[in-house]
Amino acid sequence: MKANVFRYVVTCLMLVAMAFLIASPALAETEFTHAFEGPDVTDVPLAPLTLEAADVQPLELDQLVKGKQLKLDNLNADNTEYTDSSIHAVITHDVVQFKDKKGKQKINCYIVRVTIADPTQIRSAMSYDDYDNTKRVKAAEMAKAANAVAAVNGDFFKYFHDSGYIVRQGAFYRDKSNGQRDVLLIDSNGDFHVVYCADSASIQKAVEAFPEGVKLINSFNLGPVLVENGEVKDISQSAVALAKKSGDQFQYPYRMQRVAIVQLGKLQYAIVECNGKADASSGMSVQVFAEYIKDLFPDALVAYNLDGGGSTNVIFPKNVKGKLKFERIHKNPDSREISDIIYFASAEE
Amino acid sequence: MQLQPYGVWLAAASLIGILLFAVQCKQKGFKKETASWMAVTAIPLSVLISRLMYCLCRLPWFMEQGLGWFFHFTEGGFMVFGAFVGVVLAAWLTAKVTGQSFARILDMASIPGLITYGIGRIADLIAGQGYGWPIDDWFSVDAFDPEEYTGMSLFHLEDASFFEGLPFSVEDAYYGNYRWAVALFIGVAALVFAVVLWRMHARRAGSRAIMTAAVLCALTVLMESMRQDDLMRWGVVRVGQILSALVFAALLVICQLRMPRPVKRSVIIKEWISLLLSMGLVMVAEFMLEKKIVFLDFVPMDGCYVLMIIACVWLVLAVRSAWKKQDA
Repeated sequence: MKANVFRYVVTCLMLVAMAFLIASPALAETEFTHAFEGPDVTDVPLAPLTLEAADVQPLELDQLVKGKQLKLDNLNADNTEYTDSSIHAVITHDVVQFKDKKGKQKINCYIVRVTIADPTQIRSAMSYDDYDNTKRVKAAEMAKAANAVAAVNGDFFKYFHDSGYIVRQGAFYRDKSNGQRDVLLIDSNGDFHVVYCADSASIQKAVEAFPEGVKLINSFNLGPVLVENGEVKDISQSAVALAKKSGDQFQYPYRMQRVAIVQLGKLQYAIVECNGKADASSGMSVQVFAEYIKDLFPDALVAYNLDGGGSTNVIFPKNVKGKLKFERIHKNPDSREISDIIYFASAEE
Repeated sequence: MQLQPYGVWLAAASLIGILLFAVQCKQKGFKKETASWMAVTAIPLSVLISRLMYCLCRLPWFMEQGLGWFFHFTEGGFMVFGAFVGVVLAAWLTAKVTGQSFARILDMASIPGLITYGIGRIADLIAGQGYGWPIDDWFSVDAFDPEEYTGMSLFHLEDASFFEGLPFSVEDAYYGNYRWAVALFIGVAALVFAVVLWRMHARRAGSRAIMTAAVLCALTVLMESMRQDDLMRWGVVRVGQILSALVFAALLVICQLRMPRPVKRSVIIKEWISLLLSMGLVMVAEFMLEKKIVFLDFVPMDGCYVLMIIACVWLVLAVRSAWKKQDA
């Protein structure tokens, strides 16, 4: 009798343990199937590009100083790779298949891996090189003016002047950070730092924590942070989602065009773009996009979400009948003119 | 540590199963300690084996996570097939310890097991699992021209709000749309079958358990086909369906071994052909759903699901034919 009661008590305890421990029958995760095209590709994970050590003259910090003139000979025949002694950039096309909460999808993604020789080669540019001029221009035009080997739209910081912590090419423009965004800081070593739910104090603290002699060169105010040190972030816990004030939080779960900048290693970067439609009928949610980047680059140091949707622009030079042209690597049907780009420049004379 | 709604529901379902088992044991004159032994062994074995099976089915991924992940129960990752195995093993242990018939104890555990499965399955919805297609897509609500239907349902509705909400659909908290509540359909079907099997007359010990296993596997095949959320796959194949096929084959073997001798070879061959054909029909229906059979592309998805239901019924009938002979 006693043994019987004891077994029932143990059973009850196990049931209580079940109630605390078993959260879900399955793991909520997304698996990706890739079909890569492009140079230097085997399968996931994609390796950062290599660049033979070369002495290059650093570019001046001033935003009016652009990259060195690109040379047609440095482009490969498919217009998918640019190499000189200071920079190596490669486009990879990925037809990715996955299943999200709305069902299966097959979409085009483009990954631009870039390795530079000097940190001054990762730069930003703004429309008309003027902070006060709010006119927008085509990303390709900005990339052309900057002699960009690869360029991506930034955070649209000139759209509103009422928020964010803005430093571009070492020049401080405003501090209206309010804790509702994750901020990306790029230092003079070309390293990425992220500040979650950034306000003035936390950004200042992060900048003060830079190694001695290292300065803040660029800051971006969009986000959220997608991956940090190989860990995919929970987007539902991101600054915008928690603040519940910005309209962006409603767009996070939508399927849309997405674009991010990623630091893979020392002076090794990637731009990742997923196509889609602004009407949310195709593309990736921000969470799925974060998982996709993690799948491509499991050891990514930082992946930071930039302005997606109609702002999504990734530019790469192209040899068109012997002339260098700057075009979007994929036509974004909803594309709009934008206010700023992040770009990688050549430093080879 | 906090209470997990899914875990609470599952614990409640298990408790109901245990109580039903205890009542049945008393009615059928089993030894007093049978129910307590069954309960104390079935719960840990079901949880651990369902976890183990999940890890084994995703072995390369599991090895990447490290062995310690096995104990991260709160992260999810269980296979319902493991729970079936756990219950069978618990029945065997209980039979050994109490010195009673394994087959009779298994029979006794069948109906409570099916009820626990039915109630537990509904809990999938709490965990954001067990969803089907979005209602809007299913009825082509957004297609202004009825001709431009999505190819899912034969029926085009401009307003599908009737189907929004239980018992038809659940709201996907992530996207805010309504999706078929597949887990609820399967859970309710399991409860209905529990009543049917409870009323079913079985002569031989173990017969009720065999038929319960067949019904559980058929429900698994159907559910795996209908759900559109996360489910385990080996390549393009759904793991639950493969395991179900193996169990069906095992059940047929068991039934044929239990048939009174001599057994005509033609009977055995006929039963195997029937089972293989029903499995083939499941595959055809599955490919049709995935729109991989080009010349059958015109069949709407509700038509494909009707075919899938027929295939699942046939799977059970294929085993039932041999089952009847062994139970005679």
